[in-house]
Amino acid sequence: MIAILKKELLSQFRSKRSIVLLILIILLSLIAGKYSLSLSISQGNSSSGSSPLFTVIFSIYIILMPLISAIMFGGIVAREVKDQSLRYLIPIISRRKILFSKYLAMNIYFIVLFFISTSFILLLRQSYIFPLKLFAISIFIILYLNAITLCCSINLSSERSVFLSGVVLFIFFPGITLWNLIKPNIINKTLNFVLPSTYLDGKASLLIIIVLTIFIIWLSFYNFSKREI
Amino acid sequence: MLIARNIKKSFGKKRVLDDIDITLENGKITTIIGENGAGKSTIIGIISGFFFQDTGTVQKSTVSVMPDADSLFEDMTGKQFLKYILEIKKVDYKKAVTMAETFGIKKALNKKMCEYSFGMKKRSALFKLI
Repeated sequence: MIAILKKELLSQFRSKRSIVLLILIILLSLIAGKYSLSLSISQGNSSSGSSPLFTVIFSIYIILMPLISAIMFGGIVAREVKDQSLRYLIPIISRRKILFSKYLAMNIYFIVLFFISTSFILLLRQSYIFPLKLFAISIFIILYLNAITLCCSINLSSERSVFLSGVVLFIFFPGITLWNLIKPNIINKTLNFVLPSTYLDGKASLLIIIVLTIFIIWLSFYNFSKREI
Repeated sequence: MLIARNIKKSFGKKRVLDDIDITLENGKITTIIGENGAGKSTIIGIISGFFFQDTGTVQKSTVSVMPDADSLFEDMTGKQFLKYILEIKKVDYKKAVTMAETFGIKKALNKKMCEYSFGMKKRSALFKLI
């Protein structure tokens, strides 16, 4: 299991896409840390490190994440099923372990990215209060969004289809928020519970996103265990 | 020992395997011969766990299967792939490198597998099984 986790993480961190993403994240952190001085780092709940600056930065990441997750990990299962390289693993390790390692790698990758970005901003602003609460909420959102990408990668036939589903979600999530702002009704109020931003703002209990994540993961594992490779 | 009993398998409406019984003994070479589309790959796929039978049972211990050579992890070097599979199988890397010499693939281990010839891919795939 650790071998698969290591392989997935190394191949992601070494990829050109990852280097581009890392540069973008560092640039965004640099701009936020150095030039957005109107956003305070010290306001809000100083003990948990929450601040307007980090709320804005994390919101941007959460909006972009469905797209980034689909770009980075869209092929994590779909590609290996398509080129049949998964056939080297199936006889020697259980499907459950394969999928769990891959899902873990996806989450570690994004947690590291968020951590790098946060640390970078703190260093630039010479502030040493880590936004612990916001970071913890973001981890739940990362788990949720990566579960969606993993589920798409299992159920869709190609990496391109997973990427397209990422684009759809990238448009769908802010679209629902906008719809809710313009014309609130029971449908978009219910749909609010699937939006990651709802949890980042603390408008809904984290328990809902945990239940949603568990359900998507269960669905992914179930479908993968039934999938013919 | 591998025992498969009453294996039935359909892809859509097409019945590929119909009540197949097969017994493979350890240490014996068994060949499955048949026309194109007879279901040879399907039965091996079921034994390996790539496909699922509609009905029937398969009793087996560990099975090693050599998939198509073109399905290697092409973005990895031979060495990376070897280490990857060995780590999953919990086999010592040094022993494997000594064996790689016998297989004539030691020199190619630092190359990316997408650069391998078809024969080299086949040898690498077989080597990783053993």
